[in-house]
Amino acid sequence: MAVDKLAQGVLVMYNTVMRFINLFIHSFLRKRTMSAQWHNDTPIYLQLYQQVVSRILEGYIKEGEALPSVRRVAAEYQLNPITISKAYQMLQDEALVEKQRGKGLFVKEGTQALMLAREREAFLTKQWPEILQKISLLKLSAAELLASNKEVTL
Amino acid sequence: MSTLISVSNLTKRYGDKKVVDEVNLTVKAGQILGLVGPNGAGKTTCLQAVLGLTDFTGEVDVLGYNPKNNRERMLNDVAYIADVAVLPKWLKVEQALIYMAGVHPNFDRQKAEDFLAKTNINHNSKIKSLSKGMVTQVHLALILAIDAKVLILDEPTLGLDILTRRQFYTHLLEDFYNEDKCIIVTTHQIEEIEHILTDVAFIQEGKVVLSESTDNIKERFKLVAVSDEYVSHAQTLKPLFSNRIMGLTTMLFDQAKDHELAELGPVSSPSLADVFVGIMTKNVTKEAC
Repeated sequence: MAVDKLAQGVLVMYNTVMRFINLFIHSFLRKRTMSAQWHNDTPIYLQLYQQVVSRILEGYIKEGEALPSVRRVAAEYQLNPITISKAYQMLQDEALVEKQRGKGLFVKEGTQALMLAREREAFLTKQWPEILQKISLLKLSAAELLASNKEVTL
Repeated sequence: MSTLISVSNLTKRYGDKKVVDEVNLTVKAGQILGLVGPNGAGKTTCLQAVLGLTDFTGEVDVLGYNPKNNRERMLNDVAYIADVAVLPKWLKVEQALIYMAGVHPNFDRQKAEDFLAKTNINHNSKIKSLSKGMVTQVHLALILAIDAKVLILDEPTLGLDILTRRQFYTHLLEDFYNEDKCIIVTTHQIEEIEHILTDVAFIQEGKVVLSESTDNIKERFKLVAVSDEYVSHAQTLKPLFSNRIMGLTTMLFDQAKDHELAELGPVSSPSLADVFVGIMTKNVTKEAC
């Protein structure tokens, strides 16, 4: 009985946290649409790589769709083209996109599922334990998390 | 990557004063080098030496040519926009296009027309009837339509509004740049082009005080927010620059060990402007001592 409650509590917390994270990611992505703002602390090519990964994951870039050319991205984001080439190379190395001769890079079929699995794994092994730790540090109960969740949900 | 420009021990004197002092620089294909320094640091003189527009001592090689002796042939593959760019007031835009097509073997009239088509500049307008921004745009259209290997831009966006500046760099990256070419650009607005640059040279009183790829700069320089109890310890690591505000001292370090910095407080990476200010201030305070 007690174990059941605990399990339920954890599940509730998980959902709450996921919702927060999604909200965060969404607002983050929205900010990135016009003129990109980069953090100084991570190399820009990694941020760009992560942006493409997120956009594929969120379905903004669909499987089978082309990525914009290096030139186009360089001009739009005012970055040096080598930065974009590096990010695109990473995506190619991980076989998330493939080159079609003379046409550029295309998102491969199955990429979204692959990345969802990868990001889930990363979340469960890296972020989630930290969040759990934070929850226990703040002595938050499942009920309290749920209550705060209601206020946030629109 | 092949070397397109190499400059060694470049020195230029005006009387007793060395305005350029033993400058060494190499620029390779694919590089976009920012030459950054305060007013009067010698940036323009350096560029003029590279272009063969001024006498100097030292060695300068541009695409295998000596700019002093082979200037005419060198200019087939080198394009330049001066910080004091002027076009004759009586000239019509159309005449400027005809003139360029006549004198420059690598001028692509279609490219210039395509660029002008994105502006509201009329081919029949005379230069004197155009605004300052429009004149600069005509100039850019003429220069960027040259299929040059080397492009030298001295304050190309000076006096332009932010839209036109952005449009200029967009045009530069989309239509001009490729990995066989190189670009040298001087500007005071480094925030705007920091991510466009692949390499940076800081120049102060005629000397190059830092010359690095922008990737290496991110590795070398770190900012740390130091709380008061660690300030004296942090000083022993010789920050280039420190500034205290709201209870924390921000310090800029060059080539310090990551684990040593982490003990002092949160570490972050500086912008190019932060590094510039840090280095310029360091050299000034050193002289004061």
